[in-house]
Amino acid sequence: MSLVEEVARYALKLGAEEAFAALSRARVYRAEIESDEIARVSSAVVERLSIAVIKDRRIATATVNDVDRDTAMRCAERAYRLALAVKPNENWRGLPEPKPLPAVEGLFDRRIELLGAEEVVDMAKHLLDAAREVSGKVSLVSAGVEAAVAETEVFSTAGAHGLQRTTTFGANAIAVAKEAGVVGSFSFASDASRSLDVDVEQIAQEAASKALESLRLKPAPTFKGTLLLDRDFAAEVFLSLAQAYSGYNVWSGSSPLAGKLNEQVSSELLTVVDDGTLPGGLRSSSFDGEGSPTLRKTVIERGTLRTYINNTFTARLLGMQPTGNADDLLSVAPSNTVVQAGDMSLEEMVGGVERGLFVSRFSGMIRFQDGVISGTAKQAFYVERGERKYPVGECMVSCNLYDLIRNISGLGREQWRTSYGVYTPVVRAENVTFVGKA
Amino acid sequence: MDVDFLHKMVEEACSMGASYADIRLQELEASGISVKNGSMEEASVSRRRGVGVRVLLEGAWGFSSTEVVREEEVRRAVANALKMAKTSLGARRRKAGLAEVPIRRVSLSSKVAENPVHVDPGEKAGLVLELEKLMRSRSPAVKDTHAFYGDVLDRRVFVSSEGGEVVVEKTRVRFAAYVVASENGALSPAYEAVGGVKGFELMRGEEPYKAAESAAERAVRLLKARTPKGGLAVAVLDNKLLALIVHEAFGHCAEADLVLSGDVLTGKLGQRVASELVTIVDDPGPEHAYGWTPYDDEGVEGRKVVIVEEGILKGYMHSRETAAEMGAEPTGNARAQDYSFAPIVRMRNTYMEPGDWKPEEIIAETREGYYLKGALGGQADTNGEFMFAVQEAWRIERGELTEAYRGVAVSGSALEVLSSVDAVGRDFKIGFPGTCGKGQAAPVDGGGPHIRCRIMVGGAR
Repeated sequence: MSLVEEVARYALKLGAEEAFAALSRARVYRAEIESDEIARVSSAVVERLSIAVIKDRRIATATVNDVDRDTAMRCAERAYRLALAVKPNENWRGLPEPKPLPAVEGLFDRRIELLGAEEVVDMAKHLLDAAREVSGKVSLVSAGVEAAVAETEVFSTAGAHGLQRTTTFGANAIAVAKEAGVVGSFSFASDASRSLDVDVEQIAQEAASKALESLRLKPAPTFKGTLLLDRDFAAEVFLSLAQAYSGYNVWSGSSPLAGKLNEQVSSELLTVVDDGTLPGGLRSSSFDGEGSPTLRKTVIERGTLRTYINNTFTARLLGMQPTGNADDLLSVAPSNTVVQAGDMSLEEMVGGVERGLFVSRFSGMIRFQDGVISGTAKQAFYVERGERKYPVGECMVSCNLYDLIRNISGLGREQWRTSYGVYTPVVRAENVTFVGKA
Repeated sequence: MDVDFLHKMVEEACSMGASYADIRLQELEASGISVKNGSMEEASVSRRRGVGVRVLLEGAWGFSSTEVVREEEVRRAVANALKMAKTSLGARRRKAGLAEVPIRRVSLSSKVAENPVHVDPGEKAGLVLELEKLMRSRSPAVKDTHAFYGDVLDRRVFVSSEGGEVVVEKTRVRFAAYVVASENGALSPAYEAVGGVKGFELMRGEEPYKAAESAAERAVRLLKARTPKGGLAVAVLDNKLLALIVHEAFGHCAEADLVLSGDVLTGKLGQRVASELVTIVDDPGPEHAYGWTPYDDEGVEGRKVVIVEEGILKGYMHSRETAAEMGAEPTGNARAQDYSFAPIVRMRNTYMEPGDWKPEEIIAETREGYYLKGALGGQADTNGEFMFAVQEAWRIERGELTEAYRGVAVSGSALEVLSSVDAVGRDFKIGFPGTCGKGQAAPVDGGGPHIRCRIMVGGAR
């Protein structure tokens, strides 16, 4: 009997009606760069057990690390004592019944498992050198390369059991350019993957090039026009949208998408899939945070809202089926958010713009509750009559999330992986307000 | 785990070639209660502990952490840290060093009237349910509510090969109220939080009730509010928004590691960077502030850093490494999120000193502009450019507040905005708990008075 099964069954012996246990172990190597220097190299061993116990609809969770059999059992006892002390969750209807779990490909790469600290440092050196080669004006404020191997096992007293081994390799860089006393804006670049296919030099080059572009910024004019969202900005927008189609937010009344199933909520160009089974996906797994099988489902199909994402708890509240989106027994989270690519090249997308802004980074708020998108465009280019004119600084972008997705006028034909678990093309949208200083 | 064993481990690291070694043993005990929409959502408790080992070998750092706190694993972590340092030996251009500091052997705890560990979880749950109910009771327009309570007991033992031994035990308590009001298809969110290095006595006072009421009332009040026309404007900022600007937009630029990477304050010591009305400080205290840091994670006693005095840049915040590199004194600003991270330069409690205006006078003497209250987060760059979401904005016309706005954001360059300050209030307030992110999470606090400045205001429909 595995430790998670043993601890969950022990909770039943204590008097709990249901229990769900999760044990995760990880080994991480990390090389960190600060101020153009390999600042430190580190290794970490992570080991964590959590157990949720339910008694008379009272739900309590206890977490502990440094796990052995004794600490695990004491953890269950603490959770049970807490459950006895608190108030019931009147909406609780029980743990999900077990279902067969899908086999998800591409989540473990033996090459990452075999990486040692030396190789991780070598890759950090390559990243640093690649940034230096772009220009002497560029500094890496911080950057890092990380390789992780993890194992997660879950067990529910309703019968669900899952075991998953994963690897992750990621790199990121934050660069800044300086020239004649002028300091440009931060520029970010990052990538992460389950496989050893992240190009660290490309990340450095991208961050460095964007940092250079942020020197000699011109003030932007104030106008209403077209917004071109580069992949990271688009990823932020779609992550916020995912909160709006989260079953919990729909049920609680904080999502404007409540009551809009099978209604047109966006441009017909937009199709969004939540796919927990995506091969090699950063948020892929064969089971979710309650041990239910993950699924691929189309959330928005050519502009029409087809479903919400749910765990068993929220699915029952809404009278729907769970979609394998349990973050835990009570919370919902998107898996991989896949935005279907369009048919336009970047040149075609820019070429069709009368007046607009191409924004690589957005510093601001994107609020799903009322749709407010308000913030500053970073690494942004002013576009006029189909041409990228000049990089702009201190320009505020204002629009509404739900208007933005209705006003999508084009999607790039290339789909990009982002380190947020969002896979998206470049997005073009109309009728956005820009407030500049020119 | 025995402290003598930790001393033995740092000695062992040095016998294996390290010129310096430190070990941090940390134990965390936390609890949380979450109530959403009238229903007890979840209660949680957690116990975590771990060890972080840092070694300096020929000017290269190595770091290793483990959550398996057994002697053989800690010994392995020491060996790993040395191995990590060796891997980066050839990659460093500059050798890291450490500024000299007095070696301390000290043990201290935060002053807590009522230890939350000893409060019955049922009582905690009952109180959070009551606060959530209070939020819902303010108006039928309140539709989505979330009340969250959390406490943590954080015990850190620092031991160094120089003979340092610092034990700091802190208890932090925090309550957050989150509300969405809805009416005729319009939705309006609001958020308030209170907290500090305090015990459960915080929850027995008025503050959580005021926070719950304030969040609910603001969400409802702003339902019908419009968004303003954007542009550069005169604005009066309240204590809370000022706290965020001072921390995010300016404070980070005075962290010596970022100064070394070349930010907007690099090379500007002794120069004017703000209006002469502006004095900015980073403080290890006051004792109950959320970022209370009497000793940092390098065992250095915290001291107050006057960053800006009457508009002139006076100092940066330092770790021992940045102080050595810049020929400065360590300030006790090296902080690590937990045992799994090496310490880096972080702020603690950062604020602007008060001036001599009454806050109401600042508004009364503003002909045209905005009164901007509270913040919902934001971002800033090391060139001082920032963007923050504002909780609530009011139009000022001929010295009077005339119309409320929502969905407001402000942006600008910190140096330009602070240079434009022409009025600083006498109403000093600190106590805006937050979690700062800089690759690692750190509890921080901040504040200041009301001020008036020129700032870019943006809105959205």
